[in-house]
Amino acid sequence: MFLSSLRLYQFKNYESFGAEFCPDVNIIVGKNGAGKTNILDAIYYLALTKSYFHSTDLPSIQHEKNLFTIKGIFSSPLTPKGGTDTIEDTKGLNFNIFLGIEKNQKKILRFDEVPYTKINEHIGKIPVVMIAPADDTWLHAGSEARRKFFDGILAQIDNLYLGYLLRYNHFLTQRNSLLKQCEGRTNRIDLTLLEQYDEELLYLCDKIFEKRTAFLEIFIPIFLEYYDFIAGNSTENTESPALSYVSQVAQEDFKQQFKNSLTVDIFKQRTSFGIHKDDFEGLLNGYSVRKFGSQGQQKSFLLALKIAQFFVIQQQKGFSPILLLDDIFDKLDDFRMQKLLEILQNPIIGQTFITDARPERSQHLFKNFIKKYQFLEL
Amino acid sequence: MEFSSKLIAQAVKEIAKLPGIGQRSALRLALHLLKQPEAYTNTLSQALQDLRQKVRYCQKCHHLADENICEICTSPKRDNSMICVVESSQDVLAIENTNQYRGLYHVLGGVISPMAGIAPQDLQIDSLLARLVDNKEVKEIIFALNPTMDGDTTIFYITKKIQPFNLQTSAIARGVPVGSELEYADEITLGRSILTRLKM
Ligand SMILES: Nc1ncnc2c1ncn2[C@@H]1O[C@H](COP(=O)(O)OP(=O)(O)O)[C@@H](O)[C@H]1O
Ligand SMILES: [Mg+2]
Ligand SMILES: [Zn+2]
Repeated sequence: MFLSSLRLYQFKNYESFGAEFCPDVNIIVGKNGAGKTNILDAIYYLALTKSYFHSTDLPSIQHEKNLFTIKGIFSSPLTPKGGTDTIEDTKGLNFNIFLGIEKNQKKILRFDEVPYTKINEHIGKIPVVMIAPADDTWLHAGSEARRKFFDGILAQIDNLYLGYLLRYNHFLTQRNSLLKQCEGRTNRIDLTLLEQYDEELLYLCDKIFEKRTAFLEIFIPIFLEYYDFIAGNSTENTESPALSYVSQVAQEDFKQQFKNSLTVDIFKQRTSFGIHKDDFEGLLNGYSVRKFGSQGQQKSFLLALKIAQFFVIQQQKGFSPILLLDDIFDKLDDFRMQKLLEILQNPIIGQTFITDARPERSQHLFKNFIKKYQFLEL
Repeated sequence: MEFSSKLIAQAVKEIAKLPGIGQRSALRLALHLLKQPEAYTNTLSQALQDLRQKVRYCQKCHHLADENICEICTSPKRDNSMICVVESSQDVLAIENTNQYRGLYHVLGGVISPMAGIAPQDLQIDSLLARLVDNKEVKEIIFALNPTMDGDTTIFYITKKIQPFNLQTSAIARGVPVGSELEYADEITLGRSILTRLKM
């Protein structure tokens, strides 16, 4: 499955825009500010109904306007490659996705003109992986970006997981609001209501923990393989990379700790225990990559995470996600660039979009590329 | 929009405040009213004034009522052993239109949601408990709340609170399409789901 045609209306810098794409590599070139990244974000929107770069929809509506629309036509390639190229609901070879977002209105999402009643059902139908310069939030102190990274993958391959996560976040917000309303006074809490939120949250903690644990078992070997490849590690020169999952839920007395912290929770006005505290740590030779890794090691680590994201989704779905690479050549040194180009020639990788502000560089890099590619100049 | 008449502009401004009505539709309605006999606008304004001044909430079930107690609560034909718990008066009207339910109602006025600032005491939950104390005839509570996470929370919350009364409780079968509001549900679906309500 690949995006054959894209139409934008009042999306960011595009008043009205249309383009056709090839099933292999599409290289989007143009000056800085021309709108290259915006095209990748539009494709991301079609897949996941939200922006990769903004947490809300408003910044994507063109200035002074009230709405934007994105329409994409997806097709199956004539010669299927890699896994089976199917999407459950496909009628025939083509289908189209329409997304309309208007200020203060519900999102409209249609699959072949039929509106979704639940937008979440769409997530995972068109898997995508974006690799963008902003990705180094993985290395920040806060654990949120790391949870988001894994949640983003799981949501695309496991709809049940997404359901659990949305429920969890809803009940967590409700519990925290309930705590806030006590204004620090333990006698003000409605215990019947609290007990209900606790029951839901504890049940969902177990479910989400199980799913995250099971997922990492598949993810880690793929990640390690690509880390070694990108870093140029061989058997005699190894950095022993590792990825570990740290969760309060793993502790035996987790439920007791959750319940015991009620007084503290009321005082702090938020919930101290649960899967919203989970973290993931990357290690090299046993030491945190975030804290002790060299810049080069950190770059390899981030790239390997993203490449592994691609291959794990590919493996779980049975077909290739759309790969979006934003300004990737600006970030990589020659060595990693060559490694990436090698990976991109893997026949399993399907449609790929690459942006580059320097067309001559891309021309040069793709000279000996074995797959088909096409330039789109903005 | 320019109207060249302050009086029309004023009417359009007020009509356009109604939900779902924009400036254009408001103007169309205003022009339509001007074409009708004057008696019609008199009856319309009288009806609107009466609506605002005379309609109140039933002291028993909190449904809309003309008197202190609504027509459903006073009707001798209704089955006093059943109370159907709903979010709003609109839900009562939707269920009444199915002609499948002969019991009484209790309108909560919403569902529990701390993030929206709605605590259990902001809803008609205490008054439901008071009704059960006063009225020993009640044998069964049927929940017909929207199938949302907060709707479910509210059902479980009330179920815990009414445990001492030893009543039969049930929730309407979820024949209602997920994500839709009860009031828009197909009347046949709703009628059937009231009849085939599930034991909880
Ligand atoms: N909501 C918006 N309305 C209008 N223009 C926007 C909006 N958001 C971003 N832009 C414009 O889009 C351009 C940036 O596009 P981008 O895709 O990031 O460029 P690049 O080609 O460098 O990747 C900027 O000129 C910016 O002003
Ligand atoms: Mg850019
Ligand atoms: Zn009444």
